[in-house]
Amino acid sequence: MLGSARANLDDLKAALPKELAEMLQGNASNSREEELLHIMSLALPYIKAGSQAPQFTKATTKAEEEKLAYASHPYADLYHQIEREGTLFLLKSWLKKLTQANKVCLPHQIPSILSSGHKNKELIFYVQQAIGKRGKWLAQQDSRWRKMITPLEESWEFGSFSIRQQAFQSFLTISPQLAIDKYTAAASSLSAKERAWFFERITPYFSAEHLPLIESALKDRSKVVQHHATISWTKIPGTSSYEFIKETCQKIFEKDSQGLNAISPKILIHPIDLPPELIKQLGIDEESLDNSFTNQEYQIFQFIWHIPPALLSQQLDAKPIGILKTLAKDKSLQKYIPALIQAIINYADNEWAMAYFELADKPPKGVKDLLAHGQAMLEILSPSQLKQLYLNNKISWLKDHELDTLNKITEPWDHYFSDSVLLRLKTKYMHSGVYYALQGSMVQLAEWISPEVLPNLKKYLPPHDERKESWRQAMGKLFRHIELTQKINTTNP
Amino acid sequence: MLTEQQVLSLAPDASSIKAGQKLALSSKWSRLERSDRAIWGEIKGSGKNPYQTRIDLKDMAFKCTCPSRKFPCKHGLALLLVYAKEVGKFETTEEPEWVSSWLDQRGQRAEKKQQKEVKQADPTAQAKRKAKREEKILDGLQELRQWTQDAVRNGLAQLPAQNPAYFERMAARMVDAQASGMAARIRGLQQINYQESGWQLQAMEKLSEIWTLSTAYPSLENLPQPVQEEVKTLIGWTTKKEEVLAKEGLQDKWQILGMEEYEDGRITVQKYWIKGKESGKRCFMLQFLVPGQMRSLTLLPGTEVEGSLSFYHHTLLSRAELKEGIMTLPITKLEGFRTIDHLQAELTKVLAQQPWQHHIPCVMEGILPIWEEEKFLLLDAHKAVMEIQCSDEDRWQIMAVSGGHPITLAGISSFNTFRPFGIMVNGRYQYFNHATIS
Repeated sequence: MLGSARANLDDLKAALPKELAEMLQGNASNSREEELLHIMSLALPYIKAGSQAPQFTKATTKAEEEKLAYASHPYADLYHQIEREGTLFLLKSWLKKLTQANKVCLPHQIPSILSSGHKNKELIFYVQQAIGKRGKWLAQQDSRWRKMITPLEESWEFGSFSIRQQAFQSFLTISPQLAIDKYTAAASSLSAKERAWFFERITPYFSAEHLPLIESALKDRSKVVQHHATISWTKIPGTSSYEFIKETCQKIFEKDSQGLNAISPKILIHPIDLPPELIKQLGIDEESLDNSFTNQEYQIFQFIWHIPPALLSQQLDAKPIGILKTLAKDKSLQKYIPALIQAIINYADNEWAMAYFELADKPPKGVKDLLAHGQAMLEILSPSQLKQLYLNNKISWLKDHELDTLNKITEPWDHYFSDSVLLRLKTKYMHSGVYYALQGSMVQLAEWISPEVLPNLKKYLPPHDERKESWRQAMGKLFRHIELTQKINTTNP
Repeated sequence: MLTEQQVLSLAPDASSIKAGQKLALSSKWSRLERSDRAIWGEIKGSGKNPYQTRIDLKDMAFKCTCPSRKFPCKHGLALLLVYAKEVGKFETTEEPEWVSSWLDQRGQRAEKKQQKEVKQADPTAQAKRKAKREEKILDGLQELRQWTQDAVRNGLAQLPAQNPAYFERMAARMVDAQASGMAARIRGLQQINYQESGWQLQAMEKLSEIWTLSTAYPSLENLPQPVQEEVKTLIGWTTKKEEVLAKEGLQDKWQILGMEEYEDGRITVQKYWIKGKESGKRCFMLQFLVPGQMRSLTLLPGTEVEGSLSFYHHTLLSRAELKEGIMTLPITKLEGFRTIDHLQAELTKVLAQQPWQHHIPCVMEGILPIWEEEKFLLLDAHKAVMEIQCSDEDRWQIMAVSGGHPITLAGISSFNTFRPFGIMVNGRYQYFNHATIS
């Protein structure tokens, strides 16, 4: 290291094995440097060749024998194409079909599938099934993946919030009642933020038997929990709270003697003082903050906001559209429509939501902010209702959200509907181009579009003499995804 | 047969892969035929007539009548993909004129090229040039020996602090002396990572190699014949490919275990590591690509070429050229060492003859990969371990395929590290499909 002058060559030579020493004797060196280089040229390969590999004495582990069958090769090969596209819904569909068939992925696919699960929480449930015993063994060896295969109970008990979120999603997938039980048992130890997140997810599954949980949640310190609990509390038929609200409804709303289906139907709203316990329970402000409402009217406005709209149609024995139109026609009652719209959203009443779109198609004068709620209303509709509205051009005023809307039609589309959608999108985007963000939304449609469109790609492309590259690319990508979706659906796992 | 993965590795870019895969359905082709040396097909394109696509299976050469400038074009790729997936769809028949004439022309061109290149230059002038070069090399090597001694005299501790010009000047001197092989070794000394632990041993190894070669060359006649030739090559003498091809070849099923790619100035060097299935002979083939040049399509990692190879030198590990080879087939069986001891014994043999060779292509059978305390190890039946060097992605692939059970890995190995190229999975060689950048 410090130069040949300081190297002790005699010691070095003395340490050499006999064979090397003999070889060196034949070489007359002119300098210390030459001699050192000679020694090293012989000694280094000699040391290397004589080295012994270290021993490993610890016990090794191996994966348990796989009981489930492996994916078929054609189905497994599909995974590689899906992986190249990197689209979440394709991955999810592939994993879902594999696990539904009680099969596991091929061993060499495990690392990639584990990484996908690590990146996308919503895949975890399926990833856990798809990787089989070998995957679980492999995941144990990496800290990122280990979390994914921790037993659900353990994750729920000891995990961080994000781990518990994953576990909770899995509970919900297994059974909503299981998730409700887990929440009930753990609620007192959860933070407000955690309670809000978990409670919101179980709300849609509440029935009369969950009333004690809902009533205790009404007193929760989290506003979000309170809000969801109030909605649940007021919408479960047969409960005392529901009956109480129903009785109040009967006192407030009345249809006139001619009935709503008569030529000039009318709704009467009786200004009454709401029962104090109801005011308290629904969190109603007693004094009006709006000049157009008296205090009693304002309380009723808030009452409408907080009750299931179905109660209204029941009380007035009329269809939602009839009620909405009647309210819209009457200048003194129009002001209640925003509360009713909010109630439709709160209680996700899709019959009322359809009525909303019918009203919004030809918006009556004087109703404030009617069209501002279109997006929220879309969330409520069922796929077939959305399809119907789309085909009948009832939601064309939501054109900026067209792809989002289409992505909510989450059931297989028939050929006619698929064709209509693609032609409409072509008219809309071919000339303006498809922005990158929109391309992502467009590709998602492949999950539902009928594969019958596949032979007709040209129909949706620009004429030969027009380039329209962005549209061409978007369609190419969309069709690749439709093809892959079809392959997933038709290949035997 | 070829696998889809192997065919796709020939694609010039990602878009060709997608386009090729789209056309890789037998139903899209109006004609699919084959002979013992080629496959061909017709597919409808945007023109009036269908495109005629043909592939020379011997050399994996492509030709298509489509206007694409990509090579191979999407039709070529697609045809080969269909062949890989649905060979039964190809009807064995006589070659049509557009196929046979192309194949014949290719054969004639190759022959002419060979004849032209082996044409002897004026022997007197050649000998004169050779003697002059010899003199220049000897002068250069003498300076190099002095430079090496100076480095040792100053101590290895001085090397990390040396200015790049210190190495570059000597490397340039070697280029002037027409000993470019030594220039590369000097640059190798410069490229050591002097921040890394163990650099001292690496530096000493490189210095002693430079010393060994620069002292061996002036007394070549004292060395065994095969080593004499190799030392000349390592110094910088080149051997024409034609001369190598003129030598007797060794017939075998040559297994292309893997490929490494590295840049040498503007040139991309591809090094294919090969092992003879029957003979066990280890060798490598080099391919030099200038920017824009298409790669030769003969050698596909993960395949076997049945044919004969000619070797540059008769050493244990030599560069080789494909003298003649027929259709490539995927590797279905690999045989190799079962213990690290056996591997090291083979390395020792190579090292004894060629002390400058640090790696050999090899196969390790029945070994267990283990991931232990952030180290990836190869464990043999005698509980000996060796470090495996590879990407995280490859490591998990290997572990997943193993599942804690013994596996067969192919790669290149030194005495203490093994770099895997691929793994046997249910009788299929799964090549990791990315070149290791050395």
